[in-house]
Amino acid sequence: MNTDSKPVPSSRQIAERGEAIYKEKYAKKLEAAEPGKFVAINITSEEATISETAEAAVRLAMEKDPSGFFHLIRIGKEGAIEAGWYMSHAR
Amino acid sequence: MPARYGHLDRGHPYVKIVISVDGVTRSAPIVALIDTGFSDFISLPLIQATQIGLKPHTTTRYMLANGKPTEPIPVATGFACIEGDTLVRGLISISELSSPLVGVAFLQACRKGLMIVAGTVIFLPEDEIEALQKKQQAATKS
Repeated sequence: MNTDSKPVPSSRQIAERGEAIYKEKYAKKLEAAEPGKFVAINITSEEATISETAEAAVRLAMEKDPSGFFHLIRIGKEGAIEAGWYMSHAR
Repeated sequence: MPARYGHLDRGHPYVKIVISVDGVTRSAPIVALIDTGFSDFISLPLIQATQIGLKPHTTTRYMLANGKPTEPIPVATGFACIEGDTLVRGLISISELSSPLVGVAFLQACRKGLMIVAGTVIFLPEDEIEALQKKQQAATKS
């Protein structure tokens, strides 16, 4: 995780905060308007950055806040990325 | 960009990749399983990710084959390519798996098509595949 002087949240803390912000501020609107796109939620500023690809959503979010922490969501889906067979069975 | 080659091991396709944190300094080659069911760029085991110096700043959840989402997975931005190629940017997830994986987003970012022919794993540049398609379409019309 980024270090600097900010406390470093755990993966679970980032995800839970990001999901709470998404649910509270963005889910209803985005699931109607932008289904299937990717959104990176900045857990500090609560800003949402939307793009067609996961990489672009995170890259654009980081351009706005290079030291930020983000949670990536695929709009309208429970998981942002399809894990595939190997990852699903080797865990 | 020339064609690149991987190998089959017990029927599974593998390729040598290199990873970079900054787009300049390259890691030693890493043998990665090609998983066309994995929609992202690269997944790296924690030890390799740590050795390379990746610093995750994002989390996400993957959707497993059984339809259930995973626990949060840390993700870093990085660069990677097939050994010998030009680095491209993508998201690298840091997993509990023992093997590195490359997914469909990696092939797309590298602009490579994957073919497995007579026991050989071949990565053809997209422009060569497009030229072949055009040639075939022209032959069909005439």
